[in-house]
Amino acid sequence: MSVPLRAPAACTVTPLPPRRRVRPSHLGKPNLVWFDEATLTARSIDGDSEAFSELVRRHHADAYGLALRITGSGHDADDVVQDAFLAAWRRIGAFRGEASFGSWLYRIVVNRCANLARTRKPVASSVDVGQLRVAPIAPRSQYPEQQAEHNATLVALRAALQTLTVQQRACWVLRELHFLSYPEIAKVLNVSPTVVRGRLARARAELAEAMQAWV
Amino acid sequence: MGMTSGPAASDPLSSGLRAMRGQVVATPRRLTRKVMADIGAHPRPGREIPIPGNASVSETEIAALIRTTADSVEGVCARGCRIKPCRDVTGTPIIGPVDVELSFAVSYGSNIPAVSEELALKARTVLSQRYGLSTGRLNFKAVDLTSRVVST
Repeated sequence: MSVPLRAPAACTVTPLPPRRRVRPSHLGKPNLVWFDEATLTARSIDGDSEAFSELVRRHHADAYGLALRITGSGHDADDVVQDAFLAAWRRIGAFRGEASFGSWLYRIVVNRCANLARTRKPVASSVDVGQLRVAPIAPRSQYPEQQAEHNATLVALRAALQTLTVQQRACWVLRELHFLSYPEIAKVLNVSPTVVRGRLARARAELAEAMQAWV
Repeated sequence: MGMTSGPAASDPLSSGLRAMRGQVVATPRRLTRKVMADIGAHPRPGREIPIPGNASVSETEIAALIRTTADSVEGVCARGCRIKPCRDVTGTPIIGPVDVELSFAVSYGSNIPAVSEELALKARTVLSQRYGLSTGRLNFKAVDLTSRVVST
C-alpha cells in the first residue's frame, strides 16, 4: 500500500533550547584547574585561598625538589617548603608579576634555605637518601653492578653538593635540574647573570673535583 | 670505587647528574596537607565593607561573588577584583554604594565594550540582590586575550 506524500498543512517549528552556558565551575565553585597562572595569581592577591591552593598543587613538587636538593634533608625541605608557601600566601600582595609565580616562589625557597644554613653547620653525611626514589637505569636482576654504581654515584653527588655554599648549590640545582636560563636564575637569586655564571662555574669545578676524588 | 663500564665510566659528575635527573622526587602528602591547612588558618578577608542593615561583609567575599558572576559571561575569565566603599566629601565611607575594579581576560574576537556592559549590568544586579549594595564607579579592564573560550 502506498501512502501519498503530502506536505504538512502546518509546519510547527520548535526552537532548539538555548545553548547551556557552562561556567568553569564544579558544584558552584570554579574549577580552577582550567585557569592560567596569571588568573590564579591575581585571585590569590585578592585573598582567594582556593586559587592559591591550586598554585600550591601546581608548584609544590618543584619547590620541594629544589629545597631537598639544597638542604639535602627531607625534614628540612618539609619545613622550608611549608614556611615558603605560607610566606608566599601572606606576601603575595607584593607580587608584581615581573617574573612568574614559580620564579618568585623559588626565590622564597632559596632564601629560606639560606636562612636555615646560617643557623647550622652543613654536614655532608646528613644527606637524606631515603627521600629520593632512584629511577633504576636497568633491571636490578640483569645489571646489579650498574645499579649499585648508579646509586653510589648519586650518593656521592649529593654529598658533594652539600660542600658548596647555598648560593652555588642553588645556581647549580636551578640550572642543571630545573633547567632555568641564566637570566631566570638571576631573577630568582636577585643577582646579575654574570654573577650566576661565576657561581655556576665555581660550583661545576668544585663538584667535578669532588667527584674525581670519589672515583 | 672502581669503575667498570656504562655511562658512569666516562665522567663521574656527568653520570651523577644524569642519575640525579632521572630521579623522581616524591613530595610527602602530609606536606601539601600541612600547607593547605596553614593557608586555611591564615585567611586574608580584606577589609569589611558596610552593607545596609547594620551589617558588613568581607571584601574577599564580595570580590568572589563578582568574579563568579564575571566568569558566567561568555568569553570572560575574571582576574583581580577590588571593592571599595564610596566615601563622602569628608572621606568617610558611605554605607551602600561601592566602587568595583575588575580585571579580566577575554577570549579573542569578543566585543569588549559589549562584554564590559554585560559585566557592569550583572555586577550591579548581583550586588543589589545579594547584599543590597548599589554601585558607584565600575572600572572593568580587559587585561589579556585568551584563545580559550571560558564559557560555551
